[in-house]
Amino acid sequence: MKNLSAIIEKALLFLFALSVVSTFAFWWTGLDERNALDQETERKFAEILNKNFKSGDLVFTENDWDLDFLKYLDSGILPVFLDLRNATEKSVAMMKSGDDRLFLLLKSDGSREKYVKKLNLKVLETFKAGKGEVVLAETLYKTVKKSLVFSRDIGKAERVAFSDGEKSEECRKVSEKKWQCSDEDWNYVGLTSAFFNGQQKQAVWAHPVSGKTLEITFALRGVSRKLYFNSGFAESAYRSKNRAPVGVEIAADGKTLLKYTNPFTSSTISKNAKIPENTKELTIKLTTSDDRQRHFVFNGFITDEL
Amino acid sequence: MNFKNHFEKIDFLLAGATAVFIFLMIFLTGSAIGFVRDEGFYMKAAGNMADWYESIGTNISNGEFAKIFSKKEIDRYFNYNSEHPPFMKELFGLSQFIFTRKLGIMSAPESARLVAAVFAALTALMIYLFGLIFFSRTTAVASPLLFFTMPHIFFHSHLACFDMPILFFWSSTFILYMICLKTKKTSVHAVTAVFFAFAMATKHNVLFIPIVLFVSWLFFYIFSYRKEADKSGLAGFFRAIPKVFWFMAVISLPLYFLIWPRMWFNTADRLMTYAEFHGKHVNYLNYYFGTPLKNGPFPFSFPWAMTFFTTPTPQLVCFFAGIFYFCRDLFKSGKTCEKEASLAMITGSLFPIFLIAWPSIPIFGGIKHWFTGYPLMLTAGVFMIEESAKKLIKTDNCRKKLFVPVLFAAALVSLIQPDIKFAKRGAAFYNELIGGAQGAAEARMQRNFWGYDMIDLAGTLNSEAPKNAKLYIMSSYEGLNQNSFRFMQAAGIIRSDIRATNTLNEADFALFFYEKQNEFILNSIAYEFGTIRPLAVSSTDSVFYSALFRREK
Repeated sequence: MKNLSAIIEKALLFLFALSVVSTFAFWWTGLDERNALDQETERKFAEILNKNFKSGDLVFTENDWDLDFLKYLDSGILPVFLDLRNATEKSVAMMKSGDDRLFLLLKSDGSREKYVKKLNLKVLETFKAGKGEVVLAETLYKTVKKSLVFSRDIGKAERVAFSDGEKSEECRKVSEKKWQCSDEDWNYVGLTSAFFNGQQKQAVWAHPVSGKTLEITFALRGVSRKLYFNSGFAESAYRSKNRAPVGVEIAADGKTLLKYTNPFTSSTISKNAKIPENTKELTIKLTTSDDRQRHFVFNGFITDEL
Repeated sequence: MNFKNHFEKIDFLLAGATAVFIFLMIFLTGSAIGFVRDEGFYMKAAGNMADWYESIGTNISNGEFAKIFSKKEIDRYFNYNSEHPPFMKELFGLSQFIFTRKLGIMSAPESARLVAAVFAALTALMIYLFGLIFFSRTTAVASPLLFFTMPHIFFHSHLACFDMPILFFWSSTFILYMICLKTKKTSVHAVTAVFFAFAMATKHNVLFIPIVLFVSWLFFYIFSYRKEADKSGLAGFFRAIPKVFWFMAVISLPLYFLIWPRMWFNTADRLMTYAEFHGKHVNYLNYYFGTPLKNGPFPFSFPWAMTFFTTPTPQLVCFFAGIFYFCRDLFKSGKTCEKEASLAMITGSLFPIFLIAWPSIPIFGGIKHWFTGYPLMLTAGVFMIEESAKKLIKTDNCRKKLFVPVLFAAALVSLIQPDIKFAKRGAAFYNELIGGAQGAAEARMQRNFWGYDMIDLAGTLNSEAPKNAKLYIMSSYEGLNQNSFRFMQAAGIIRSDIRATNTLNEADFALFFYEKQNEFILNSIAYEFGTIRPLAVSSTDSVFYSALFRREK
């Protein structure tokens, strides 16, 4: 017992001496900074994007913590998503609104192969960027043709309003991506991004208010055959002890197409429904009994393919 | 553990110098650290307290003594932030009353942070005394220095919050209990109870202390104390209970109520509301190795791993050494009261971590919620290292004398670089075992906490913003809140004409505080402002923490 104690004492002394050495070695020799992108790479990332980016393209960075390249970007280059590592073929494809291209900002050219394969991409062009690489690509993932994408087309909604059954309060369209419903920061319907079952996607922020129904109406043009709808809570909602669910109802020309309660759980809900022929109008109705931190988000689309 | 040393003349010099050094180091570097969200609430409460002190003067001069403690008056000044006891807020308010309102020599936020610096000095003093009395003079000198060179501790020591004061009270109460066990003097037991009343009036954490200490005592009673003369049977049991527990009931509780006037009225209801607030506390979402901890049960490993990765490695080794020292004492000691003292030290060190590790307990944020026992295990660990080092060099006295101070000095010097790097954002520090800030970010750990990190952005904001510009402060998420913004203006950190808004589409400038769960706000700002190019960025080792944006459309 005494021997064991002496051995532990010596081991602890050794560890203490080692810890001093490791502290010196790590913090004084630049080891703590070793994985940062160098300035040339950052500038090149920005230069390539500034030259090649077209409105609607999406930018994904492999590194979500060294964002100094943002400092050199021109205005209008957005959005930039920081979750390439967890992205999947489907999640990336679902973020696209149409024929958008993808820019992948990679720390080295060594990871190109991995992402091209994982995300099922067709590489359009690659650019050397210092020690890193920028890949311009499009996804090969087959998706149906989308006639309406809620996140992309939120600005095209016919109407966004709160209704209490008797009177309604219209939300004000402040941009092509946002309807502001009051002076409160959270009280809007508009484009955001959120994690859907662990994957970041474009979505519509739609915070319901208790005692009222938030109604978002889209006019449907052409043939609309099927609705795909996903909903859940943004991660910022989980700071709350409020467990109130959000009631979701989707009506086609006033007739209920989908109706469910979205509970306050970590996972998101995915639904789909056939849309009756000649439907002119689709309304998404959201309600809650307690609106504290109901950071509700949804996305989805309408397709003319079954 | 036994009393080893007395307080001698030289200790006045050493303890005093240590406390003054820590006080100056904390107080003079205050302007480098932004105001966390909680400080906004407590500084506002401090203003109410200062108003109360003013009103006491007015009421006395009007001869209205009864009015001072009337329900109306008490509710007026004490109802705000009633989810926390008032002792620290009373001190922040007193400091504001004296140094800001009467003497006019510092701003209101500075006066609150002055109290924080005083508590840092008291903590240094407490560690010195603990080190001296139970271990050695070398330990007494080295321990406070090693304690305050932990970046998280250095950071929290600046804040006008309750976390460092409750650390002081938590560790001191355990030390005093140990002295109670050893001296049996009634006066020591009574002083401990008085001290404990102030601890309770600081933060609710310490309410666990009598419970865990009594359970520990009961264990030793069942297996040992009851065999002593006069301590068996029911009467013997009550006689055997250490006086400090009785005093906690008859001294601590009344004094606690005396310090908290709001509890004089509607007592049962208000106590219930207070208990309910903490019993049903919200969980703060934390990223932990890439997993957002949204709802319980939470991983048992969370506070252990966070302690492991957020403590600089020399101090981390001391933690292990300290726990080993207490455990060895527990099993080696012949006397029951010494065993109980060792168990009390282990409990004081580890119970706060165990508590947060419990899967159903919400995660309240960073390490500040379980660091209350760090001084105990650190100090014992420093002594353990000192003893081992002395044993290693057996022959040469001169070398033996030099070896230990050189070893601790080397540890302190090695910490200068990380301490400087994280001086402005100690809450974001991770050690080399996870790869520092970069490694933690790569592992997707929570990057920072409490929306304070904007000192690096303030200069650009002040120089670029036109008069009366509106600044989005991300208050609905983990950004600044309106109070902390207001106090940053009062402290001269943000220009006084700049207005805070929580509505992005009316803002001219926007602050963005990075947390993984708030990543979407980066693109919300970009969509609204027409650019994702920041005007200024705050980072360490290229890890992005917060940024300032300017509207371009």
